Formats: sequence, C-alpha cells, structure tokens
Amino acid sequence: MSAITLEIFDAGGPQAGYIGWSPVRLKISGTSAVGSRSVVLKSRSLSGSVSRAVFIERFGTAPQDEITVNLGPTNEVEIFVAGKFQPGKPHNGASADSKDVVVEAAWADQPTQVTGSLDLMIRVRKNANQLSEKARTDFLNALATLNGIKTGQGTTPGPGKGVYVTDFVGMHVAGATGNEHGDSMFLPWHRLYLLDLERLLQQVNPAVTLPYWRFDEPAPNLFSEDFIGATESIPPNSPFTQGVSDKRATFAATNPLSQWKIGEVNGISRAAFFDTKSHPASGQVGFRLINQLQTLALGGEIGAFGAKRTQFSAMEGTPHGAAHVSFNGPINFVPEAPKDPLFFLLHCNVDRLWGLWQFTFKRDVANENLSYPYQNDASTPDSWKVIHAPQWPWEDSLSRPGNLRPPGVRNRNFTQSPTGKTIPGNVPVIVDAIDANGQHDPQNYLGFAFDDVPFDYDRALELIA
Amino acid sequence: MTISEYRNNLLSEINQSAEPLDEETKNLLALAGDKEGIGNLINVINDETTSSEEKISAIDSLNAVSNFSPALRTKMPEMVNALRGQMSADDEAIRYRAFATLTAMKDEVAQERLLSELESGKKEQDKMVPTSMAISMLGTDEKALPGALLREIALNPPDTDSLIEAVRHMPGDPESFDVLKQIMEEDENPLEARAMIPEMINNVDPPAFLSAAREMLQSKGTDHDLAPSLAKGIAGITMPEAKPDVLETKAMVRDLMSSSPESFKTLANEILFEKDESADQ
Amino acid sequence: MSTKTTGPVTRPVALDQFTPAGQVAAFIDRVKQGPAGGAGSLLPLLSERHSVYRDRPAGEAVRLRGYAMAAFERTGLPDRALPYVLESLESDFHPYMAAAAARALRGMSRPHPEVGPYLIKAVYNIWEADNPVSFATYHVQWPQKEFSTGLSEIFETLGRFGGTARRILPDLEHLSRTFQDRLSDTARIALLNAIDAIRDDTCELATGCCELPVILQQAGESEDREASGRILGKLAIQDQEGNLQEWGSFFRGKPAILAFFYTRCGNPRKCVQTVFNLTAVRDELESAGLSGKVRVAAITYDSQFDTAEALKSYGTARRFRFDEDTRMFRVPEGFEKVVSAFNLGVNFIGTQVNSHRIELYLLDAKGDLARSFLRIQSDPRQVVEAVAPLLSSTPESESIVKPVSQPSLLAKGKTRNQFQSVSSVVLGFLVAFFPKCPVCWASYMSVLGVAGTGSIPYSPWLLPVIVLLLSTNLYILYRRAARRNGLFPFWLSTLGSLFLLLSIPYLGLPRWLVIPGLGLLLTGSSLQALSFSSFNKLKLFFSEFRYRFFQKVTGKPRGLSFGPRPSD
Repeated sequence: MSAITLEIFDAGGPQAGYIGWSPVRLKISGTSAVGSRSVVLKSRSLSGSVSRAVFIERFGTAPQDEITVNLGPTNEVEIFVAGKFQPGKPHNGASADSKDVVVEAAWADQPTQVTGSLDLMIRVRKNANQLSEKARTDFLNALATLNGIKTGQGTTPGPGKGVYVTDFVGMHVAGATGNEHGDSMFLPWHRLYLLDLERLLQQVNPAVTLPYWRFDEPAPNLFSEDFIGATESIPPNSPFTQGVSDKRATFAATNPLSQWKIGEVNGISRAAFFDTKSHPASGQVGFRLINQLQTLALGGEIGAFGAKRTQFSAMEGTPHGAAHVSFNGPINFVPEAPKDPLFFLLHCNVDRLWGLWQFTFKRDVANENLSYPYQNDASTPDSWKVIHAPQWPWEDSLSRPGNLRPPGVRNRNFTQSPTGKTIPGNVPVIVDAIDANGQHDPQNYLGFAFDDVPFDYDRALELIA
Repeated sequence: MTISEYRNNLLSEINQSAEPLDEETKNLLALAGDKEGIGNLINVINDETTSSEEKISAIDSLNAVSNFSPALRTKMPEMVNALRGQMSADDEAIRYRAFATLTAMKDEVAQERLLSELESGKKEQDKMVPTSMAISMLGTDEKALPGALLREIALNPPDTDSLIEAVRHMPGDPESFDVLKQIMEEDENPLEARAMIPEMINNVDPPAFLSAAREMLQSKGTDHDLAPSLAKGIAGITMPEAKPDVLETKAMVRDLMSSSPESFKTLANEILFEKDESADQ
Repeated sequence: MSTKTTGPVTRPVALDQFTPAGQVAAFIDRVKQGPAGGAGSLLPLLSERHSVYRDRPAGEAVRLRGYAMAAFERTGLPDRALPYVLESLESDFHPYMAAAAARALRGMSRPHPEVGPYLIKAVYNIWEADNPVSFATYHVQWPQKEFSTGLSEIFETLGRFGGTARRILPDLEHLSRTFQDRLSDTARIALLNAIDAIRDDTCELATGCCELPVILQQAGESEDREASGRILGKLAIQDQEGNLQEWGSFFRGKPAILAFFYTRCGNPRKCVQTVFNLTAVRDELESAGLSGKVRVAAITYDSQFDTAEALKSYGTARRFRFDEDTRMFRVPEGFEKVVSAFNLGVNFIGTQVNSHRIELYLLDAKGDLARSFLRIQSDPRQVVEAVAPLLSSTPESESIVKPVSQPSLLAKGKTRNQFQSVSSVVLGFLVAFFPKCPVCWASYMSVLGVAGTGSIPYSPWLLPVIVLLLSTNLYILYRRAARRNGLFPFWLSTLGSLFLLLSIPYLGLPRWLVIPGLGLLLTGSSLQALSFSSFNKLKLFFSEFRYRFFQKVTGKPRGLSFGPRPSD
C-alpha cells in the first residue's frame, strides 16, 4: 500500500503539527496502487489523553470526527482540520502539554490499514492553575530563556540581558502609555503584544503557550515556589506603594525564575493584598475586582472610553486595573509592570475575557463599530487608533512629527510563525487582532486559542452564507 | 454539547449574574475621565487642613486610576508638585506613598532626597523611609543607586531586608566582587541574598568564584541550600579562558554526584554536563 | 576647573565628583548673579565628560547639568553652548532638561528660526510625563504655589521668539487644534500665548538667514587628536560571536563607520535609534554599491554588562544584520583607552553609564579618525556620502554609486579633495585679476609691453567671460558649502562679485568698487579652502573679539536681550 502524506502549514520544521480550535488547512496526498483515490481520516488519542481532532471538508461546513475524501486526478486534496472542543473534559479537550493526538489516514478500500499519520498537539492557552507539571516546566524554561537565563545546554546572553528585557519590558514604558491604554486600542494592542512574546516562546519550545491567570478565582498552584513565586500577603490596609514592594516572590532552587533579573536587579518584588493560597485577587478598597460573569455582563457593546466608562470598556478599569493594583510591586504600575512575568499571565486572562466576549456577542467583525469603534480617520483625531493603523512599536523606530509616539524597540520585527497568520512587513495593524480565531477567513487565524473560547462553526456557516 | 449550546449557557449565566459594578467602583472609573475630580483630589493632598486619612485616600485613588486615566496625565505636574510636598509628611503612610509614586516615575527630586537619607548615617528609626524600602524604591531606576553605597549598606545593614535589597540591586562588577563573595561565603547571611550571588560574580572573576564554589561544595556538600545556586553559577561562566577551570570544577561536582540529592542531580545534569557526559546516578 | 568671578579678580574653583551637589549649585548661582564672563565658566559643565558628573547618580547629574544650562538665560548663551542645548531638546526625555534648554535659548543674543523645530521635538518627548520645574534655586521647597513645567517653558521660549518662530507656527496650531486636551492647564495656556505672540509679531525674517551659528555635528575633520588607529591597534575587542581580535585587524584596511551605544540605554532617541540608524546606513551602503568596502560597527560603552551573547541578542532583535564587515563589539579590558582616543562623550557611575552623547565616527582605512557626527542623530544618507571620499577618487560631479576598483583609493580620494580646495582659490584669483575694463587691460598691456610682448586691443566680449568665471566660482563655493565651512564664504564671494560687476566702466559707477570686490572675492575663496579646524578657530577668534568689543562699548554682558524673568 503506498503511503498517504498529511501536511499542515509548512510540511516540516519544529513547529509543524500544532493546531488550536480553528480550522487550518490539511493537505492529503498520495497515489494508490489499486487506483482508489478515496482516503478515510480519523483521529486517535494517545494513552491518557482525551484530545481529538475534527475534519472540515470546506470552510464553513460542519466538523466531522471522521471523513472520507477523494484525492482526485491530482492525487491530492486540501481540507481543514481542527481540535475538537469537548466541554467538560480537561482543558475542554485540548492537549495537556505535548502531541497527544494522531490523525490517521487509510485508503478507503482498506480502512483498517493506516498508511499515513500526523502527530498533533491541540495547543491552546490554559488556566495557569491547572497546568500539568510538564506544561509548567516547559513554559518556565522558555520564559527564562527569553530572559537570558541558561536552562539547558547552549549559550545565553545572561540573566537580565535577553530579549524579554531589552524588548518586551522596553515596550510598556511611561512614554508609550497613551498608545496602549485608556481607549479602544487597549485590547487589540495587548493581544498583539502577547502574541509577539508567545511566538518567541514557541521558537524555544513549540509546545508552549502563555497560560492565563484566572484572577477571579484562587490560584494556589500559580502562586507557589514552583511557578510564578510564593507571594507574601500583606494586610489590605497596608500602604499602597506604586511600583515597589519591600517583599519579594520566593522560588524553589530548581525553578528557573529563581534567577530572574531585569538588567542588574535580581528577583521579583511582589506582595499581595489578598491571600494568594485561598482567595482571588482583591483589587483595592473602593476598587473591587469583578469576576468573569460580571465582566461579560458589562454588555455587548464596546462602549466609550471617555469621561464615562460604559459597557465593556469599563473592563480596562476592573477587572484589569483592579487585578494590577491587588499587589505592591512593579506589577501595579504601567511603566514597570512587565518586569514581573505575572504581568503576561494577567494580560493573558484579560485577552481571554475579550475573546470570550467576542465569542458570546459575536464581536469579531472587523468593519463593525460594535467590534471596534474607530473605523476611519473621521472617527478619532488619534491616527494610531484607527483600525488599519500600523501599531507602535513595530511600525517605526522614529516618531514622526505630529503623531506623539516615541520611538520603539521592535521596529518591523513582530515575530512570525508558521502556525498562524503572517503579519505583512512584520508590522501588525489593529484589524489583525479582531478576527483572531479566523471566524471569517481562515487566513485571519493568528495561531493561538484559549481552552474555553471555541471556534464557532455555526457562525462560520452563517458568515459564508 | 454544540457550540451554540455552549454560548447559550454562557449567556444565560451572564443574564443571571448580579449588577457588575458597585457605586464605589463606578465612581473610581468615572474619576479616570474627570479632570476636575482629579484636581480636587490633588487639592486634598496639598491642603494642610485635611486629615491623613483623607490624604491617603486621595493618593490611593489617584494611583488606582493612573494606569488607565488620560485625564490624570493632564494633571501630572500638579500631582507631582503635591507629592513632592508630602515627602516630609509626618505620617509615614503618606510619606511612603509619596516616595513610592515619585520614584516609580523616576522623579529626580525624590531620588535625591532618598539618597541623601541613605547616605546620612541617621538611625534607622529616624529615617524618612526604612533603608530596605528606600533601596527598593530607588531601584526602579538602575542608575539611581551608586554601587559604593550599596556595598556600604551590605556590609553594615540595619536589618536583614536591607541586606537582601542591597545585594539585589548591587551591580555584579569588579568593584563589588569581594563584598559579594564574602556575603556568599558566610552562612549567617540570609540564603535569599546568598543565592543570587553566584550568577552575579561568576563572570567577573571566574577563577576566584570557582575556587570559592569548589571549597563550599566540598566542605558543605551538594545538599547544602546554596548548592543549586553554585551549580547555576558554574554553568553560567562564559569566558573562554576560564574553561579549564570550569572543567576541573565540573569534574569535582561529578565526583560528588553519588551523594547528591535528586534535585541537585537533575539540575546538574540539565545545565552542567553535556548530554553524552551526563552522570549516570 | 571652572572660573568664579568676584569683582575684577577671578579665583579658580575645582568642581569634581566629590563636590556636594549644593556646592556645585552655589557656584552656578554665583555665576548667574556675578559680573560678565559667566557664560565661559558654565560652558564646561555642559559636557557630560566633566568630572563633576563622575560617579553621580543619573538623576543628580541631570539636575546639575540642567541647572547649569538654565543659567545661560542670565549669562547669555555663547554659540559653543548651542549644540548641547539643541541635543537636550532633541533627545532628552527629562522635563527638567527640556525646560533648562528652553530657558538657555532665551540667552541667545538674537533668536534664531532654526531652533524652533528642536523645541517642537522636545514637546513630543516630554508631553506624557511633564513635571513641575523651578530654577529659582537648586533645592526647591515643594509644593510650590505656582510653578512652570517642562512644556510651559518650551512654549514660553517660543512665544518670546515671536516672529522668528513663525516657521513652526503650523506645528503649534496642530497641537492646539488636536491635542490641547492632553496638556496640563499651565502648558495649554502657555501654548495659546505662544501662538498669539508669534502671530502678533510681524517682524520679517532676514532672507538667507537660516544657518545656525555653529555647525551642529562637527562635520569636518577632527582636530588635534592623536590618530586612533595607532593608539588602539593592539587593543583586544570581542565581537558578538565571542571572537577576540585586535582593534587594528577590524578597523584598518577599509574605512569604517563606528557608533557607540549600550543595551541598557533607556533613551530611545539615543542608543535604540543609533543602532537602527546603523542598520539603515548598511542598507544605504548596499544601495550605493559599497557593500564589502566599508565596515560598520557598534561598540558598547558597557562592556562589563554587555556580554557577547547580549550584543548578539540585542542586535538580532533590531535586525542588525551581522556579517564579516558588520559587527558589534565589547572591549573586555582597557575601554578607557577608547574613551581617551576618541574623547568620548560618556560618564560613569561605577562601571555603569550615567550619561552619554550620541556619537558616530568615520575612520579612514588606516584607522584614523576622519570625521565625527556628534550630539544630533545623523541622517544615514549623509553618513554614506561622507564616507565615500574615503574610498573614491571620482570627481565631485560624478555619482558616488559608481563602484571603484583601483588600488590606492585613499590616495585618490585625498587628491580629489585637495584639487577641489585649490580650484576654488585659483578660480578666485583668476577672476580677481581678469581684466574687467580697458584701463585694466591697458595696465596689463603696459606690463606685457615692458616684458616685450606687445599690445592687444581690449574688447567688450571679455565681459561675458568675467560673468561666466564669477558664476562658476560661486557655483563651486555653494556646492561645497555643506561639506566645508558653510555658506559664509559663498556670501562673501557673492558680495565681492557684485562689487566687481558694479565697477565695470560701462555702468558709470565709481571705479574704487573694484577694491572691496577683489578683497571679498579672494577672502571668500580662501576661507572655503581652509580646513574645518582652522576655519573654526578663526571664527571663534572673531566671535570672542566681537563679544569683548560689545561688552567694552556697552558695559553689558552679551545676551540679556530678554532680560531676567520677573518671577526670579
């Protein structure tokens, strides 16, 4: 029996075989000796895993657990494959920490004889408090590597000297506050920021994703010495000290974050106004953190970011801002916050909440005001907020007179990945972040997903119709 | 469950949830866009007749919205002016907040004041801000803390936290090498400070560091609390001329592996030994 | 050493790293309040290299330097201080420094339209983190009932410039129209006042006025410096791959473009932009067909922190495309030799940089310093144009894109420069002594008659020849102005040419006009032929002479046109 070849994205390379919930192209090719051109595809979970894949014949059609396709006269055909969203299962059916799903192909006239296979990982962003040990270790090692910490063989710049420090801390600074906060670009900008970092993490280890900190639930596994650091609690009426704390997160000696540095400064200063072992984040007195449902209940419209925060725009204040100020330490102050890696887990949850809101209220239509309010130059005096505006700091290193933006550090250097949309010119625009799941067009898929934000096949069908 | 059912369940839960924002939170969010309201809070800080509690509440409210308030940026000079005035407040809770907010913004006036406190030789209880907190505040700006001052504090710290903060912020350079090595070698110093040091000094003077590391591993063993940090320090040496010394040290560590705890063995195998030379333990 | 004046006797006061900040400030206060001559005492304090900044925390260094800079409002701003002031406006993010620079500009004897754009750049640097400032004293009692801010000081200066700042009025109007809401009340009021003041001032800008009184980037040859190639030849340097080699092995053999930076520099308009600019320079070299003919290098000030791997990571993240001729370096030991050889504008607190200037250097193929671009970020095209003469022997009128393959490129480049220098002088002489009238002709003929060569009748056709020679001379002076000694020689020669043309007999004007005409023409040509260092020495001499003369005649120190601020 001649072999059947299965290819996703680029055929080879270390990043091949990583998918999320969104359909991605799967090329099936082969030549049958007996002339049959039909192939049967199904998926199988490895031992201990519940993950499965589904197959979609054409974009906009329903997913199937098993599919038969005809290769046609060219001996190849393209369909779509995606992870199977299984609510109620661990991570809703996503892979825990490695490739644990196999797509198997057989010629239709001999369906039990598998002649082609492809190992997949359903790679999604997961709740940090629920990570497996391997997923946690992989993430910490990748993150530490970007800091410049040596986690294996090979050379590194040295702790505190890696690209995380020179670039990602340098992007979220005082002078750029106006580009990133206080208006509707807050959510898409941070989505792109996180994606840039996550793709770099995946260059270190393709199985890694950014975990999210579910700040409205207790996360004792996260705030431990083996993860983001055991964090001392201080009374709620302790002085709120912006950007600093006289307490430090503590780490196990085997945790690579024990060597965390920013420049010459060792360690992470952090103290919590809540008991990290048993309580969710608290916010501050008079500034409470709202939970997930309350966040979604803010409403289906993005609302205004001006004098009165209305509807979903209020989420930048709470839960986002409230989560930040639940601590003393750099995490509670915008220009300092990324010095503490907890920042990215916090913002991963903010991005998840946006994704969940987009899914719930169908707010992924780029040219709708309901999805993003600044559709053209007439809608705002701030040119960088318009939906097709190239985003700082990727757009240019020089501040053009009149645009008020300071020069950035990742000029035309947004990380590309074969597992998601290629960003033209390495300069993302806001619209890139709106249809992140590729609901409208599989080409829009950015290559990330959350464990509890599925791809909506019914909606895809609706949109195609 | 289909995706549509999943969505409908979510919508149902949303509809049943309580009113999301309480009045206090609504007021704070409204403050973010309210120039006049922010101005009033700044006036409270400046007003000599307002109580400490009122001042503290004003500063905390301003800090809470500072991360997302475009209106606050228009009042930044007034806010900085007011906070600079509170650096000498009698109430330490106000002073801490004022210094923290200003130093987080890398305000030069606040930095100079804190530094003069650190250099003053005053008793700890008479200082405007405790030494450990002052170092932490100044440390938001890498260029604000002279290495000489940190070395002085590390050698004569008023408390444990001050020693840890001094070491945390000390540059790993030739001028600091001897002080850091001394702290690393002394068991009575807090582990939290000592554990940072191997990777601070390993490339400054590799032979001296390696000699100290060998001596400590041999005399105290690899189950010693500092052993993992020493291993990381050895692994992090990059200077090519130190390679023979590094190999000699690795050989010594390999000899100790048979009596090492599992955690040390795992770490050493991951970062010290090449794959083909992993010690079979 | 800085000079303190107490009446007619000056006593030197040593300011160094051990001088308490209060004492430094007290010295500055005395200079501000003292009699004339103060500006000269303050000038050394503008250099980041001054020993007073050594080992000072960066914040304190900023405040002291700013306090000194602001004092020029009182003492007058000498031309030599202008590059420091404009540099602060262009690339400093501290509101205190921006305010100090804005104040210093008020000490200019006459406001200059070219400084307006720098003030606008400073607005964009500091607007998101504007702070209250005060220069009444160094140690200020806070809170202040009234205060100015970085932005309001900038707008105040623009307002005082009045019509001279008309060029940037559209920028101010743009700020007023679209971004007023982002400004504090103090800054907004100052902005609106500045706009009104500029609109209301109907003064006309002098035509052809628009050259700054100093050349900002020292665009000529370096003066009085030992050749870096010889001193540093054996110094060990390490590249981003960890390879060790001698300085001379990289920086000799081909011309090089060399910039200094460090990875921990938090100023995006300095080191981040410097590295991006080097990448752009490399692209320009490629477009010009000069790949492989010029080396591009960035050297870190911070070799203790910036390991080879750190340099590689930093450069890669900025698309600095490393290859054999494009590298980043650290100096494992002996960086002080590099500091000394290049007179680098950097200072340290311990081993860490606490302040530095923007600096980019061109080295010739021997490794000697050929040209420097300091303080203001240079345009990559300008840098590539400047490096071309170090390679090419093609005449000026040919494109630099032409690849050159002859062996002694450096020799040919030098020859071309010398030829161009001489040609303008020769042409000047030719024109000067070309017979412009029958009398001149008769004079020459009588000389020639004495020499026995007979007589040739004068003819009016010679007039167009005179005009042609004059025009050619002026064209050459104009073209070379950007590279050497500016437009001043061109203007002198233009005036001289005008006098010469007016002295032609057919116009009926006095004949003695030919004398100043000849003098100006020859002076203009000669000045352009001078080396940059000689020209500047001459310029400085006349500048000082003019200053002392003015002072003697009026009894006032120069630069008090705006007077002290009422609130001080």
